[in-house]
Amino acid sequence: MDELNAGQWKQELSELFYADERIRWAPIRHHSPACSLYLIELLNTFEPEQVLIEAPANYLQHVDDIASAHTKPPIAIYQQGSFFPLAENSPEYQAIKWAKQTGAEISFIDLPHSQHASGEACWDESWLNSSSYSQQLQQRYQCRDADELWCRLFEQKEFTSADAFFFQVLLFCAASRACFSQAQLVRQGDELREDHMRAHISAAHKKGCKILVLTGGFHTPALFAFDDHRQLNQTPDEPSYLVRYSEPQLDALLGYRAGMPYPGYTKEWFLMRQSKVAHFDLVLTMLERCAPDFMSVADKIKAAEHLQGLLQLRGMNQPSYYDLSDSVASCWLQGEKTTSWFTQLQLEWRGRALGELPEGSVELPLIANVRALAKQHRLSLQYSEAKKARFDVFEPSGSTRNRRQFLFSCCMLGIPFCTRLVGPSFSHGADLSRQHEVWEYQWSPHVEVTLLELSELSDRLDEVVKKTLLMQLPDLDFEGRIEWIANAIQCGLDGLVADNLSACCQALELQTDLKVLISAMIHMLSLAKHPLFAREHDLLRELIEKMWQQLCGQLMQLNALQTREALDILMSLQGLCVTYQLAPDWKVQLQRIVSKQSHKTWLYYTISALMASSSEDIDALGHELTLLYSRDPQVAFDALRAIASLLPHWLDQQPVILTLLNGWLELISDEQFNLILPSLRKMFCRLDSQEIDRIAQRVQGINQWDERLAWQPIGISQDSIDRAAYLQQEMIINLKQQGLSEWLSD
Amino acid sequence: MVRPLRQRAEQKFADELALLKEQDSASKPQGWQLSPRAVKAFILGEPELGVDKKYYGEAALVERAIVSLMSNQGLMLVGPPGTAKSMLSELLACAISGTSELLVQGTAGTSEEQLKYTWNFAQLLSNGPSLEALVKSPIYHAMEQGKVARIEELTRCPQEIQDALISILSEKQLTVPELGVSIQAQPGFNLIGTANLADKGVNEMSSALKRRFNFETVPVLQDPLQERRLIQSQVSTQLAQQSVSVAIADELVALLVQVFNDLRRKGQSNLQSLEAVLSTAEAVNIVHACALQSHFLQQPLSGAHIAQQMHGSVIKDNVEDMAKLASYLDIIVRERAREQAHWRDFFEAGKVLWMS
Repeated sequence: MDELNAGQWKQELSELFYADERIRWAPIRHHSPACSLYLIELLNTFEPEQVLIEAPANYLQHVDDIASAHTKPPIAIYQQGSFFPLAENSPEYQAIKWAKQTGAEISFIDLPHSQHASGEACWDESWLNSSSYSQQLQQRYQCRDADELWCRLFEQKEFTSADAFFFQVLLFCAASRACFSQAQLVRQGDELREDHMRAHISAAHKKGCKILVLTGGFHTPALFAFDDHRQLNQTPDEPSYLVRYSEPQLDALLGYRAGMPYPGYTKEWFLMRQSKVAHFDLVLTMLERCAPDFMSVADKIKAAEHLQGLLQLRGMNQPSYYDLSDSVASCWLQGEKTTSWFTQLQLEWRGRALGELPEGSVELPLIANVRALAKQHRLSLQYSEAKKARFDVFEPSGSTRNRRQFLFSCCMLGIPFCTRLVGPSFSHGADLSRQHEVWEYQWSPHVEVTLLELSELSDRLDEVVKKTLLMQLPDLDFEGRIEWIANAIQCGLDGLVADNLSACCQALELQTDLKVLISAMIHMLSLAKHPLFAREHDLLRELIEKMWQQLCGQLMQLNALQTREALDILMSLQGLCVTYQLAPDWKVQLQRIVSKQSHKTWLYYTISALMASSSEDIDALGHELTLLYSRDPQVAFDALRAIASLLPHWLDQQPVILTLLNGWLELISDEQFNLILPSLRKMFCRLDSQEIDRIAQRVQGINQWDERLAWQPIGISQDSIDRAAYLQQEMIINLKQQGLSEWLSD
Repeated sequence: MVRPLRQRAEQKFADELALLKEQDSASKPQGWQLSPRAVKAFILGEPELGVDKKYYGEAALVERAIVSLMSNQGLMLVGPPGTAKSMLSELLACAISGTSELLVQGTAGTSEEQLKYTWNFAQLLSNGPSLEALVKSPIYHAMEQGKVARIEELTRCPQEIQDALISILSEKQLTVPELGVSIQAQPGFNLIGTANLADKGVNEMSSALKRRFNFETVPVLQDPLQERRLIQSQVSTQLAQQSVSVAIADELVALLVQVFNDLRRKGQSNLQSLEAVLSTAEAVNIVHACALQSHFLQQPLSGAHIAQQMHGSVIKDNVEDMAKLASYLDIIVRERAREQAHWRDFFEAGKVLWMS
């Protein structure tokens, strides 16, 4: 710490630090075990009558619950999208516990949360860590990052007293702070906050009692200049909530910028040091905890010796996670197996503990209700790690149905508890033959926070779902209402759907967009045909029939649409009717269209092709096209192209179509051919290689060419062809696995 | 006295080693010439003592390696080619034992005799087995003298040959059955192995042998600034030894480091990584060759030299790499060439070499 011995400056800080016997300063880094340990020592020796803590004043209401014996960190105070977390090794947590045990007064001296300019970022330690002073020290001490530097300077060393420790922290923080300009501090909102803190210190000082000021070390240098005449403003009453928190959320490596790396390890380190575990025992215990099963006693001894040597070389007393990680990696990492184990070890060090709150103290009824439901549905809430739930959706039992409804309800409400990983897509009608559905779920403080916000609606999840859906309904358009029906059914609220079906039907009657109607139809049919919603089948059927009627009534619009759009709609409808066995009625509807109106030529022939059910029909159509071709080849080609787009296999199966196409292509110029080439390519792309091969043979026959038609691309290497064959094989396997074998046959 | 073409580390840094030994008051492991802290200072530099930094990678790796060598375990340095594994092992050996000459080069043809001992067959035939007829391997010498021996490219040796080291590392003794004697290693003895991850073999070490080594992976330098400094310093030293004086523009070194970094990033960009080794050692060779070309052919150094030397010393005749470089030039370098002269020279020269 030679850099800190900057003579005059150090002397000045020392004088300010020790200026008043009735005040002790505890500049800290949030969640630092060393800060917590020396703070406990300072509290026990100094015995302050009032403890001032850097936390928003409106959080004071939670101190009883925080200090309760039934509370287990990590916990956090939540307000307006930001968390103020407290771990076992947080100095603030230890100070609150100590004050409650001894009867000392606690004051939270920071600005109320709503007045913070930077939200949660105000507790950010990155300013401290990223200062040029810190960077210079990192280079000097050959540390890999700012956290290793902090460990070397403060966590791994023994200090003669708590005051000596905190004075060194102060020097470090003051030097780091000096790297930032006043303008930067103002921008960050620190100046306002520090002004508020000084007012609190001033108020406490006036009382004449012994006070301890516990703040982030970055602020302490600015607090010495408190003024006894400063007035303290009234604290507004803002709602905040005490919630459970998880260790992974405290991890600096996962983006929590006020945290330290590996919170699980950090907590253990703190607890062991607090229990005065001997140094070597500490090393052994830590190694024992992280040693995998396949490590022998000799391996553990080897690593312990290595760690001792490393600490000696680095001049440290206590091992940090950097040292332990170094020794474990050196001694035990010898291949892929151990590498994956090391990754697991780092997850262990990250920790997975979830905090506990005293029973009945703050847990809102909705949180309790959701937890009870989760337990009832056998969904584990013990750990904060993600788990998976798998359902057989084709033979759903009552409990499976309920579990799924619960998970879907959470998902629909935006509770970050679960996500569906795999399963049928009802909105697109895809993957409907999938046997299983897989959900991933994870209890976390974010779940509790979302529930806190939803608590305004009700204390019960089913009521919240119902109210949310009812609130949504009035503002929804037709597509939104279809989505709404699907959501309500998946939440198990078929009664709600029944009650509001007429409103949905009214919206349906106003809907004229064919694409929207088709999409809604697919969505509802997917649900109605699925075993998971067998109970809701009758309810949905009524709606589907109305939708079909509405859809059929709008089919006349096809004439007004662009060719591509009309073909897409016809293709979707054709697919819908094949998949859901609506073909008989579909043919009736097509007949109705053909007979009622005059049509664009291509549309007439396309609909005729869709209606053709026998070879006689197809021959008759071929004859008509031939006649048309003799009159107007361009129009005939347009019709032919439309038919081939919709029914590409006719090119292979109906010789008359191919003959017409061939004849027409003979007539056109090279320029015209180049123009239509992309659409021809698109047409043939929908055929498989066997079909193209057969077509090639027919074309050879029709034109009486001597040489076989080389349709396969030239210049593609055998490797590429083999690769393509392999990919096709892989695709076939995948399609079969997904129950889509029918895609392969036709 | 004529200076050898390449000095060993203990010759090159004799003054620094002497200084450190003189200043070293910390306790030393038995058989070590310097304390672990002094070894660390020798490798990572100690500005107050005027000791230069020699290894530019992570300090923690060096510390772990030193501690490993204090234990009963051997030290195995693995990593991509050209990441200074051999240099690090040489520095460690010379700082710990005062010599780095106890070296075995592992190859597919390495025999057990090269690891243990062999015989002077003339003496063996005339006098029969005797200590005089015994030809000791560097490892035999290291055991006798309590020093660190090095085995380069250990995993290139056949596995049954590698396994000859198991008893040496675990029992710390070597038996000569022909003489009925067994020599015991003196304190200070240890082994440093190196292995190239690009070579087949690292995973083929037997578990028994792996257990007797602590493994350290020596990574490619991640910090471009560090890499630039290292290249400048290495090339300057080499040129000074050859009494050649050429000023190397930092922009040119930066260009090469940027090219190497772009082409090293496997899976991180649309670029395809090269088959060729793009280590710092290769970068040093390229810049050194450029400097010599500039000096002896009286040409000002430019980006074109970098491309030409890169072609000769790294890409060689690899057609696939040339195609990847053509794509790199087209996608990335073309843009940079619009604004910077060095990049423009590199682009023009590269176009001739890889795009034509």
